[in-house]
Amino acid sequence: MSTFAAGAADTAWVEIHSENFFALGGPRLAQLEDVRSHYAISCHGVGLSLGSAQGVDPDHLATLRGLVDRFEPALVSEHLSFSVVDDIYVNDLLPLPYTEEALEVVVRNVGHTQDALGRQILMENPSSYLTFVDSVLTEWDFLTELSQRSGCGLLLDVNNIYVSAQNNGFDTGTYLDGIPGDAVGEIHLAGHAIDGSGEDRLLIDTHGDVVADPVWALYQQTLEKLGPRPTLIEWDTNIPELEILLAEAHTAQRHLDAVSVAEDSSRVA
Amino acid sequence: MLHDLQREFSDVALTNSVAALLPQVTASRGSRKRRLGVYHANTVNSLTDVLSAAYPVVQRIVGDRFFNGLAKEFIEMHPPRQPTLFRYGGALADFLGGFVPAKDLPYLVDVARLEWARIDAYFAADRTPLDPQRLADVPPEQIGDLKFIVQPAHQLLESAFPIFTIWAMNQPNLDSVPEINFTHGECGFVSRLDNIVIQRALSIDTLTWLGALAEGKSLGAATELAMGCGAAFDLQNTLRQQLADGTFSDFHV
Repeated sequence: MSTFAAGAADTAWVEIHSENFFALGGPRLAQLEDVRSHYAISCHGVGLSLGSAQGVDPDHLATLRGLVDRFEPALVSEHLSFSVVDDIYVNDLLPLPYTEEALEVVVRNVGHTQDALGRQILMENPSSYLTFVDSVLTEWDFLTELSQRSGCGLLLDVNNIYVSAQNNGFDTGTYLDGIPGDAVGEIHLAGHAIDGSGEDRLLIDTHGDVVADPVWALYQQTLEKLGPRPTLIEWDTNIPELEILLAEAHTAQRHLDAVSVAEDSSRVA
Repeated sequence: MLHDLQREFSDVALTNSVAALLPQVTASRGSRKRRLGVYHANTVNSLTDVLSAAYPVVQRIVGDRFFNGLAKEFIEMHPPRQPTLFRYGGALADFLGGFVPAKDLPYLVDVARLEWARIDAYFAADRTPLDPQRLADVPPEQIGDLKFIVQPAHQLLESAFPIFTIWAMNQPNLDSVPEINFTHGECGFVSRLDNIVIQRALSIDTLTWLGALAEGKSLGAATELAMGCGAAFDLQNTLRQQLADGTFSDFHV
């Protein structure tokens, strides 16, 4: 983070996990002030739990509001998942059944969040390892309905589409065709791991490796369909030398440049 | 209903108890149990990483295998109850107090307390340290009545074991590790100065003095208590050192 605090990395913007900065004070917030002075910021939440049937925690929302007011991020995003039940915060993005009940819950929670923050948020498609018996909607239909009913935008994680498609057996092309392209405000790319073989082969969304070739291909396909979008490389575990990370970002930038019209400002972080 | 399903899923994530959820999920191929296991592994591994980052000295003392085992038990007994992962694990010291496999390492509890105090100090609210010049401007007859505001990051610790020495001897890349004398305890403080967490062992009179000031006692009353500890309490030097460490953020009469 110090490289970014000094403004020394060649990147257009920086994305943070919002909850990592839910502190009263200390070096993290001080460093984020420095980062903010050099780059635009995106606040990517991992703990608001917008899929929780019990609704959104007002304290969490108030703290997020404070962070957003202080750092004025260009984008604010969260996940289509849940992590809070009763008074327990599971530190993982747990999947939702794609039912009418779940849709109403997420629409209500997203609406509540957008009202509290006074701005639109983007909702990210999850990586998933199973589906639910009760699901009646596909993920792309669920996201389309969510976006239309709540007015939220979408953060399309291309690696997550690929991981979920491989694990749950749907077609990535059908997914892309089903997504309302105009609602997509940001794209994520990341590495995954392959675990097990044969029937038990699963792709695990680790954010701990380079972006896989089929995901680059799907990214290219996504850009051709949607046009250029701000793109972020996520790398949270086994974090490599900054040069490797920036090389990944530059690869994404080349893909973007190939589809960008002259005046477009989409950039990679 | 959705809330019931979510409660069942959180049980899977935290304890891998899959019975209730299993009939409600589908897998395109292979075992559904294995699919649910991915969520359990993600959850436990990431919480273990959080504990490992918060308690490097405890981990170094007990070793990785022992640490992973105690983390697993801790996570089941103390699931996260706040959305910020960096605030997870504050109950580890109390947990260790009742953790039978660690009973031969009685100092571990206070070492864990010291490591958690460092986390608290790291994330505590920012306050500018008191400028010593402001004290110089106080009329001499009012000095004894002064009450100090202690930094939010500042915490006092007292142990029957030499925890500050144990901590220092368990830092990575030490050239030589002298024998630790376990016959006496240590007290001291953890705080933050210029955005760096600091800690120092203190004599018992200084600890008494700081404790009294933190409780809101006047400088005169705190000094009297410190001098009652038996040793020769040096107010001038102690005050100078604490001002240099940024212990106080303000004072009032």
